[in-house]
Amino acid sequence: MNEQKISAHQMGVIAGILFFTLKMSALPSLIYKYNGTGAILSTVVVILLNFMFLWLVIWIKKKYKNESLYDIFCEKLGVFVTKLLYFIFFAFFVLKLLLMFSDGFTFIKDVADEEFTVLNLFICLLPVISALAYSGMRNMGRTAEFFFPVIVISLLLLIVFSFVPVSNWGLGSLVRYGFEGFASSIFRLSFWTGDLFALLIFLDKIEIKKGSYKQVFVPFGIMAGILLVIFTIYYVFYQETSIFHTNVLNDIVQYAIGTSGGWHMDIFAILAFMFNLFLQGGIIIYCANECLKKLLGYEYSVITLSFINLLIIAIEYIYLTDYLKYIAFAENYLCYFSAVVLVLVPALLVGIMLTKKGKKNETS
Amino acid sequence: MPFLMQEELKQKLSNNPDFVTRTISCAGGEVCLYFLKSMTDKTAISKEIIEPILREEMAFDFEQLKSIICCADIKAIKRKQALEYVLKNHVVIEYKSQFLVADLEKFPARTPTEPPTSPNIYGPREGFVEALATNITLIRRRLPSKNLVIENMNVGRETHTKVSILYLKNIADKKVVKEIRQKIKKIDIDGVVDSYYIAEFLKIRPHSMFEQAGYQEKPDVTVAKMLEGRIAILVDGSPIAVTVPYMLFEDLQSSNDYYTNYVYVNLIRIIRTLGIILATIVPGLYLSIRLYSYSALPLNYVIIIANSTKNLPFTPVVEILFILLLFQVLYEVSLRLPQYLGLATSIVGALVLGDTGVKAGLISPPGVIVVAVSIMAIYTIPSQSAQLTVLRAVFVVLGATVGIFGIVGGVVYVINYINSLNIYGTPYLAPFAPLIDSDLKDGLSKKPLIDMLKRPKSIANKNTNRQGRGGV
Amino acid sequence: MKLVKKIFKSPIILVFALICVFLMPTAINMSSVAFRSAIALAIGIDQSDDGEIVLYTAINVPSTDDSLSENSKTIMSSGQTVGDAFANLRLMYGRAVKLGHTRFVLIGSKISQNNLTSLLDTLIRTNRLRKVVQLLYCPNDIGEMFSVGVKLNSQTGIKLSDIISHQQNASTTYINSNIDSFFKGFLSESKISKLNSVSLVSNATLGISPNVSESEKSNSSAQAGGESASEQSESKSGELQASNGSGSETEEKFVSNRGELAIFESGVLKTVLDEELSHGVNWLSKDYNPKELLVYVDGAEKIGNAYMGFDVLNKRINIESFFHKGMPFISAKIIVSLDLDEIISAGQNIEVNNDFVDDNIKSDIGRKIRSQISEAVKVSKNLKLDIFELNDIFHQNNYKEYNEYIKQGKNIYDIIEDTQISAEVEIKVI
Repeated sequence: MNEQKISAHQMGVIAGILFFTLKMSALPSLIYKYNGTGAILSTVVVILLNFMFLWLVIWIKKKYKNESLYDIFCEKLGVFVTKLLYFIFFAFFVLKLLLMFSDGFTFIKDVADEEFTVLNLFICLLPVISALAYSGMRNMGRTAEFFFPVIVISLLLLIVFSFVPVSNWGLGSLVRYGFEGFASSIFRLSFWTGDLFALLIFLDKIEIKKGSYKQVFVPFGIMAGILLVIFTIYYVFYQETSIFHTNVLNDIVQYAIGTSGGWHMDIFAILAFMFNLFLQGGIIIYCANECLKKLLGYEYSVITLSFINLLIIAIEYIYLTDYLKYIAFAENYLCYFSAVVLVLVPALLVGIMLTKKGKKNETS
Repeated sequence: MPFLMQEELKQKLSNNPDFVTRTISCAGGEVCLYFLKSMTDKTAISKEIIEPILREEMAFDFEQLKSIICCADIKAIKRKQALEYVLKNHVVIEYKSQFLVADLEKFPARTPTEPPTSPNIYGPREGFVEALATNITLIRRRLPSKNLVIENMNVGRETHTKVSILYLKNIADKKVVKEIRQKIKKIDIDGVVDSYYIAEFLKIRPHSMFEQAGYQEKPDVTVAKMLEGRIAILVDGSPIAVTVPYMLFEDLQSSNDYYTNYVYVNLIRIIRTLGIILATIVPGLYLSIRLYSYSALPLNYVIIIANSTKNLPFTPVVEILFILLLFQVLYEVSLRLPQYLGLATSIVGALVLGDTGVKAGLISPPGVIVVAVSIMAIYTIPSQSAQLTVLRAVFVVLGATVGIFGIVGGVVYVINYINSLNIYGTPYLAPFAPLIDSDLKDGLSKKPLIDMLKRPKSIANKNTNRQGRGGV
Repeated sequence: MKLVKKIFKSPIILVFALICVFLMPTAINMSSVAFRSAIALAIGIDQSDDGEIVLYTAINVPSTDDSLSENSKTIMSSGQTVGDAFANLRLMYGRAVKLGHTRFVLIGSKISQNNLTSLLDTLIRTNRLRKVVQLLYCPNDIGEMFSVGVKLNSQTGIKLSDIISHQQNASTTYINSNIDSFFKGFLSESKISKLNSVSLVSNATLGISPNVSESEKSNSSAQAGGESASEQSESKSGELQASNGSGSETEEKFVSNRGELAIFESGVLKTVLDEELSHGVNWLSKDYNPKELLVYVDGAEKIGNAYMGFDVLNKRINIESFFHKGMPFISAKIIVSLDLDEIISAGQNIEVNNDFVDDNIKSDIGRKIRSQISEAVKVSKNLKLDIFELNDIFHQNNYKEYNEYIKQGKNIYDIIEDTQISAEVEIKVI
């Protein structure tokens, strides 16, 4: 395997982590707001869409063996348009990072430490994810692969402990809100679901061989399955009060206190969420860094990473200290932004491939 | 006829009293012997060199002298090599301006015994000793293979320490061997007194605190590692063999694992892994729960801890640091004290820390328990005790300042850093990162030997077949 | 320049050094949460006559005498809002209150006349109270309730929360009474939330003779300092002393969780159902699993007039909801499995024999259950309270017809009046 490349299994693990992390805070409440108990259907559709996206990424990778997204776009669209697109991607990833920071801060403050401050978040999260990004994709892939069993086991234990018998499923009809509710929940919350786009940014760092589909889809499928189970448990337990929660991962295990001997079982939620947060943060900041480097034509990661860190700190302190405000902003405006990124880019890639008529692939 | 080297050697060796010049008058003329009396076998010199020469009644030339002398290992050398061989504890024989050298080295050396840090319940109990020749013998006895290659070299401007590289040429990767050979040859240092010196030069990242080579005290373990494709380096004067490439997981394995039932071994390896977590993270976690995340514990435990720590003069952080310091001092003292004082120290330590300190209200029972568990757990993996001690200190700081979030961040950073270490093509955290399914047969869990058909893929090797299925 | 290069080579060491320099001194001087803050074991909220929010907080007090025992004291504070009350508590006690380990929240009668949702929302969001903490209605003085609890702790080692939860589990009308279920009720179609009601009763009421020893009498009077409960209630703030009750040496107060249900509509208290009515409501609930059943049989063949006590082994219910000609109907089939425990006839125990339970007795039992249900239905219709959550049942199972029913100009109170409830009870004695 090439020095800085990740294997198919590592790609599947990264895809699973990217898919899972940002959905464990306020998203289930938001989906319920738009689609009521049909939120489970919305979740299933989101999972299927992400599966399709993942399949598309593998297909694109097999066509463009060693080329990066930047090279592909430069060749067809020119440098200026490519840099413009990369500016949009950079903004996308920075906004994702901000959402991740807000999510992380709210979760930790609610669950782990009431006196947690934004300074603590920055002093711990930023250096670690910057170090992860700086160390390169290969090391991040290995780190994600290493922690993947820990995350899965924590989540499975969480599900097991949250399993308090419920006599009333109370979900009723899943299509109560009709197509409008269903479509709104998918569109309005698209900003929370576009994480797999990061795979396209480091397309050239992935090594896909024959028969890699299984290695990619199994870990991603595990995370998607766990997510669906967690959402289902959440909606069954909380029903009408599903719109009140900002920490789903912790809230599904609240009823377990009666059966767990006084332990709040938060520790599994804390572990799973925190590990996911760091790994996702590392990947997202890596993508932001790559976009910035391509944009500026600058190769020194230290400077670009430092700039991104300062940018995040500045925006968090000056503007976005209110989590609920950011959610509203993401629902109302960022949905359009992410729709452009998540629909336009794959469409461009497919279009380029169809017009390209199969360039001879370089051997690795 | 004056002897060419007599005065020269005396001067070069600063008239050392243990340098001996013995002139023998015989039928062939005069023969001069040069040797260091403290490092050579004087009985053998008399029996194998002096006696045969004196017994000769006829004149003899230089070539005939080689047959007269009865030593097993004798060869001709040049004049400029004479000093070198004297310093290598050989006997240099000058006859008619020509030189012979006989290997009659003898010095006080230990016999192979069970190493104190790697005891076995079942399995071999031999351990390496300081003498290189004995160590090579111990390896050769277990590996009488034509593919065993031993490359000797001398390292150290003053010490000229003998270093041997051992590998199986049909298994070990040529590139790795070449790289190691070149690195050892490049070492330019005045002295090498232990194998750890060589290991330092073989590190991929010299400034990293993580070990990048394996250290084995037992020949059976060394041979097993060589059979997986590793290269062993033996250093004269050191009872520790260095093996490269190295993976972190090697320290979670022990030689006992391969001589015991695999089901029991699976359980023990899980306990060792838990030992790492207990050793490094528990004190920091305890502090973070006491200072910040009180709701992570059930209320009963919070109350017990609060009741136990109510009147302490120290804050939680100071208390834990104080207990850690006391335990560490006790450990250092126990390492350096003579044996007969060890018992008294243990009693004093136990009383001071376990009883009097708590009764005096300086420290609390939960604090003592937490630190004691951590200190004991470190020794589930003794070879990593230094690293785990440092990491524990780091996690104590992170837990005290940032809480559980800091500890998780620290763990992620450390694992990521470890993942960046690639020791001669072997990932440091193999077979977990990257995940190598076939190597998991001897990972956290262990399969029976009968199922391990292939050599590990994490280590660069040529021949992957370990065993066939002939008998099964 | 060399130093800058070194730092950039390994910036994480710089970060760690900064943590050690800037954050470690604070951490070294920081005491444990248990001493820095007040860990609240329980809180009670009520409203005073002049509209102020009165907050009672049972706070854990670490004790070195016995490391395993839980000691608490109750602090009373007041303010214009809940936040104000907590701030005043902080001023008085010198520590911020942490609600992470709070076991239950008592809601007083006066504050229940207002909409509780905003109060509970504040507690959850600002004070980080867990959503599954038990929420209980207390018609008595909450301060007195906590006083009894403190006394329990110190003398018997039994905590107030244990009493409430053990009684709840043994009670015949246990329902899931927590903050989340309160909000669920508030947001549901029926707008009804049900809370368990706990109260203080005197031993005279229970018919129990006082169990106070001489030493306990002198201890308690020393503790009270001569104050009576009525005198205590006049004080606005401060620590509550354990008290023996209203001055009488023979009267003791006990916590009673007898299965009464406080019914809230849109977050405001409407009524408190007694034990019998609560039975009636809960027979039609899937979550209701009674533990015991006591039936008086009149002129039974083999035993004459007798009280028969049964252990309820299992209760299964199948509720069918439908609309017929635009009118709502509920048909419930309840299957109860019983184990005969005790028979008392003319003040004497008769040996238990399942053969005594003939069809007549079974139909008596069924009749009793149906009569409890019908009494509860009457109350529901009289008070126009959807205590059977009929709106939720129809909304969930018969969504279309329910929508059409509402479109006819009906509202959620009409369905209470219009719904015909029939219950078939099948008794099995094992």
